[in-house]
Amino acid sequence: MSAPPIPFVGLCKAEWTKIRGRGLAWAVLLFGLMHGLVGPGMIWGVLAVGHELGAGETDPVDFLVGADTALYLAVFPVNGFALLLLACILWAEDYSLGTMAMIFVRPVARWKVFAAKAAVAWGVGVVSLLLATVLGALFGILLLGFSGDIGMLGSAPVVGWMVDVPEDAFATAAASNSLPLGDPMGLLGRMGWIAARLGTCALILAPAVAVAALVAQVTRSPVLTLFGSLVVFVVDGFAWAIGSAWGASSLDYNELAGTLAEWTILGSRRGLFRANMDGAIGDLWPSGVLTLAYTVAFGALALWMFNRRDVT
Amino acid sequence: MRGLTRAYGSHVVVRDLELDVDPGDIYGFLGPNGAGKTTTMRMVLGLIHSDAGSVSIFGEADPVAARRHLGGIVEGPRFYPYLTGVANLRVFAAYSGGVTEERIQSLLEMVRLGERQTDPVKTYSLGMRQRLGVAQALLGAPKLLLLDEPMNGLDPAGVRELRDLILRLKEEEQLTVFISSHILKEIEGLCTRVGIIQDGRKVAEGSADELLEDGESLEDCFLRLTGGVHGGQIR
Repeated sequence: MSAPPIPFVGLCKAEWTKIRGRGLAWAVLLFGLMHGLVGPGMIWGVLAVGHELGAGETDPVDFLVGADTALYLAVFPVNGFALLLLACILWAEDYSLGTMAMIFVRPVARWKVFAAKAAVAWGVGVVSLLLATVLGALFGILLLGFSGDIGMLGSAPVVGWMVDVPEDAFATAAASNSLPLGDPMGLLGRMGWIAARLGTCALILAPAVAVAALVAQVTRSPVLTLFGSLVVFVVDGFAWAIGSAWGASSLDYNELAGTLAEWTILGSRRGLFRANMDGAIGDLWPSGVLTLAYTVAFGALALWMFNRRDVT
Repeated sequence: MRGLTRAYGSHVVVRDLELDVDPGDIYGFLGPNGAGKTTTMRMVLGLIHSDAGSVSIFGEADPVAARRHLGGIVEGPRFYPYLTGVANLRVFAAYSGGVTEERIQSLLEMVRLGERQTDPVKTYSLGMRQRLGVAQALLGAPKLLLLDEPMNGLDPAGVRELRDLILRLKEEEQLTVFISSHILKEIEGLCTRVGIIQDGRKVAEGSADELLEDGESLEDCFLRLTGGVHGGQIR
């Protein structure tokens, strides 16, 4: 008699049940929703203050600006905090509770269990970002309206990609003492770009899952996994900050330091985000490839340990 | 098991161990503390790797395939305390494959947890957890059930309940049971065959009739074979 297959979807459902039971999955999703409210709310607040201070009555934003801002605000907190917690629960808590042994005595290949845990941790993070973006758009309709004069956004950070600003716009602006205006992308085009940005943000989340998975195999403790993963990212963040400061300094410019900063985990992910913001697909190298490489390297090492190590 | 060996550093915990468990046996696996029982069971269950030797279960030598015939608990059942009893079984069922909701419900009834299935496991007594542990081990309808010290910490009523459950499983599910325990009186009344190890080596194997001398209890036999009694005194 052939043995019944073990569906991957079933394994994912089991992992989802664990984090849902802990309430953590809902917390991560609420975290995304919260950013969906904060993004448009923040822009609305800034505009309201601007109007109070005597800025013109022109409305330079619309709901998609709210959606994009919500995504921008959500991606690094979701990646840095919520996702690490999820990964800690999914890997390290199974070790600390002793339930990993109860799983490994079953006729399921360990790599499948590993893949289900990774898929659920990453998937919840991506859904959290999706919720931030969608709620940002919906809340944006209420607060910011369906349409706006977004041609004024050409010089704005984060959402400036929505406007095609002429190359000499800044010179013109300096001469005429007015903000540069550009040709805004169409509504559907901007929606497409936001969807693409969501895709690259999903890739930005992946190294966090891989690092937490690896640290969990080493420590087998939820607290140490969280602490160890944070240490990895803090050290990486320092390396990025020092490298980029040194690399950007006009007094003591060091090209190598700047390049190394770009090649840190944080640097590559920031580069990936920036490339996406500018709509510059060409800039996905090296950022996108490096982000993927970090994910594969940490993930492969974690999987190797997951497969090989004894459960005592 | 053939030539099963495992060392931690220079300390050999299980050495060239050979055991045969026949289908339908309730096999008592005995040994003093540190004899290598749990390490052996962990190797059979695929939780730790052996340095040498092999385990074949109902003809399957491939570890993943062999585990289709296997259910077990090592060093006490472990659960997600914040999930209910039935949710825990559903989670573990996903890793077994092909387990129906009817099977889960029938196992909960079998171990008499049907009425408490929707309570979180953290509210269960030790005896209830042991019974839920047996239920989870049976999810994949195994042919062989491995139980490591299942009676540890149970009160006399719990021990009797578990013993009756094991005997019922042997009859109803045609199970072969491989069980380690320090409660030798229970093993004596439960097992059809016994294997005794010491320092990672097998020192005796056979039915009670084959191992016991005239009027000897299993406890006396165990102490005699493991050197636990010297000149009538326990060392």
